[in-house]
Amino acid sequence: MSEHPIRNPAEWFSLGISLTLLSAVVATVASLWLNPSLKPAAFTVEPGKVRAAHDHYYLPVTIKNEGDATAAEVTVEGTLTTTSPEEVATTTFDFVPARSDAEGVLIFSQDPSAATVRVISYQEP
Amino acid sequence: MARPKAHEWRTELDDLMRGIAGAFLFGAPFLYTMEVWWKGNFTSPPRMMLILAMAYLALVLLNIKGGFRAQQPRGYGQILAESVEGLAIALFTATLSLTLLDILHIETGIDAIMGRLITLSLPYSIGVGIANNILLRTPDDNGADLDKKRGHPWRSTLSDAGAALLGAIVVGSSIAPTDEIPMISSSLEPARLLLIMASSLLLSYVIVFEANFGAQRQRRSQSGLFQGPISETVAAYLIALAASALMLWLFQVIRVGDPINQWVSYIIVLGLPCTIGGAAGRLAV
Repeated sequence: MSEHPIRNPAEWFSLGISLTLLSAVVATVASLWLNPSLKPAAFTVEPGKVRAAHDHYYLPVTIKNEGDATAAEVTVEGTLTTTSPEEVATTTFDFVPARSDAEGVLIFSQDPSAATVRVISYQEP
Repeated sequence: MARPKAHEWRTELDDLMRGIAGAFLFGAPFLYTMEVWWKGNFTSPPRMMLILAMAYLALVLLNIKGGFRAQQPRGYGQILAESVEGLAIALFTATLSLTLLDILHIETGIDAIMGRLITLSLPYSIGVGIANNILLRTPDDNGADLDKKRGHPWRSTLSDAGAALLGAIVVGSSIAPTDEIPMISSSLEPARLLLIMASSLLLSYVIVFEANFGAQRQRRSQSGLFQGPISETVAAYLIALAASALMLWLFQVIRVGDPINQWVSYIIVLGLPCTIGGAAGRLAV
């Protein structure tokens, strides 16, 4: 029996599926390896729709890492200059992997529709 | 080539299920470790290749004495082929479990998805490689077990319940006090909680009644509350949930005054590894 490595068609079937899956994974990793795009982390920040609750204003922000490197401790700051003194809210994302999105919320005491949002810092893991 | 016979497909399915069950059994603590997901965020492609190669090598070594296929002995060709399948099972199971817990999404980005999958596939591969050693029973075991258990319905019910509880505590207690439980729970919607419950029940059933085709017939013929496959699976799941609740409360992850939806989601999230442990525990008695 042991001269035939595969005993029956059912085993051939799972070996076939397995080889297909594995080659897909290896090919994906190989293509990531061969096409190293070394663009460092770069962010766009998109403010969302303001929502009011309990005398405060909640401003959702979507941050997108358009670079090819993962960024850690990404800090987003929203500044509202129409108030005096100007109001600042920050939030920190643990990880924003390459080419991925993350969402957070900044909270202000005044309507932040005119607020400017930007990434102020991140760490290279 | 002749058409595969029904029993060949049946055996093949049993073998594959045993592989998946083994992966979950050994891999559950790794699945519930956020550092495993985080490391996957910045794993470079050469390192991914190295991890895949190490997983394959581990499978080859483990398959000489273990593996997930019931039929023995094997030639070298079979060992190499089984290791390919083992690695595919590990990757497949890793994808499934990370998606179930909402750790993989499309927005995660291809680098991080591959990194997380491949990092987790290493412990899962080891689980597949030792699946036979933990899950497969020889017909001899069954005979002795059957004689001992028949005619003591209460005793066998109690021993199964005790084993399920013990298994749940062994696997769950190292996960219960960690931050992963609140972390995973916080991002889950109710529909996904139901999906996790369904997966827990299915895995428990597969581990005890399907992946273990030698002892399966014997278990179905036992007497006692625990012996119908469906009732045993449900009863064991309830025990796992109770153990999960108790451990979460003991480790002060949840307190009596906390909102009910927090209780429910934490218990269900920890219930998954507890159920897997309970299923392994029931196989051991």
